[in-house]
Amino acid sequence: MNGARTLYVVLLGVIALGLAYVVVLGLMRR
Amino acid sequence: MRRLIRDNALGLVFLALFLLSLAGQSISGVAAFNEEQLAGGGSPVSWAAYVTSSSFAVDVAENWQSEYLQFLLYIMLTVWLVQRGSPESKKVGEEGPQSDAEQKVGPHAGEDSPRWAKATDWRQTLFGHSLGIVMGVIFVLSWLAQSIAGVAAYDAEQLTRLEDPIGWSRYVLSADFWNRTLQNWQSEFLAVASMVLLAVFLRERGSSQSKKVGDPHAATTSAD
Repeated sequence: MNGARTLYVVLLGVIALGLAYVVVLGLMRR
Repeated sequence: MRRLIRDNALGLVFLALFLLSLAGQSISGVAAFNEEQLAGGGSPVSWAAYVTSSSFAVDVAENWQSEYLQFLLYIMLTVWLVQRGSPESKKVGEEGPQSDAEQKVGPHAGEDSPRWAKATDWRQTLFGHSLGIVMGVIFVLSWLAQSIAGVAAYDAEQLTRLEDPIGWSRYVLSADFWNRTLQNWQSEFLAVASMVLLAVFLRERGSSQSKKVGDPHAATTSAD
């Protein structure tokens, strides 16, 4: 299950980073 | 290593497809963006400038929010609604959150059940709804992100048209915001209805999302 847990954390990390990226670009009015 | 890849093939392949598609979107996106720029008398932008633009960000976020809404609704509605004959559904009569014994929680939990499933307090409740909560949180955040990047992209275009920027509170009521939102929602809901209903009468041999080829159309799960 360790492989799946790693992917689970990576996925949630990608989503969190992606959302933060979109919000930052929006707030910076790029 | 081989075992690790095989055990996680489904997750790995979809993560890889996601990254490849996102890269493809950025390349075709900058080409489409520059076509419009040139047609409007503007100057083309670099790939790096495009992927750090709110125009790219809003395109990504509007698709994310609709996917998470789709799965959120699917997860929540399949608790209470059934579709006779669909492998995507519980059996008719099993609607609702079911008993603690059926859900293997609290005193009914097994040795190898997750720790919070064995709990009898708020932890069991929270863990018992964690999938819906996380999908819901991601949906709300990505819809909010869509609106924030969306208004930035929209106002930038307004300025190139020598019109006034409208700001977030007017943007979330605007045609642009709802057009981007609903054009994604409609396709998600059609796809879910297709999955639920087509799988009653059609089969894909070997797929976990299909009934067995020989299962009767009326059988709601493969176990019937």
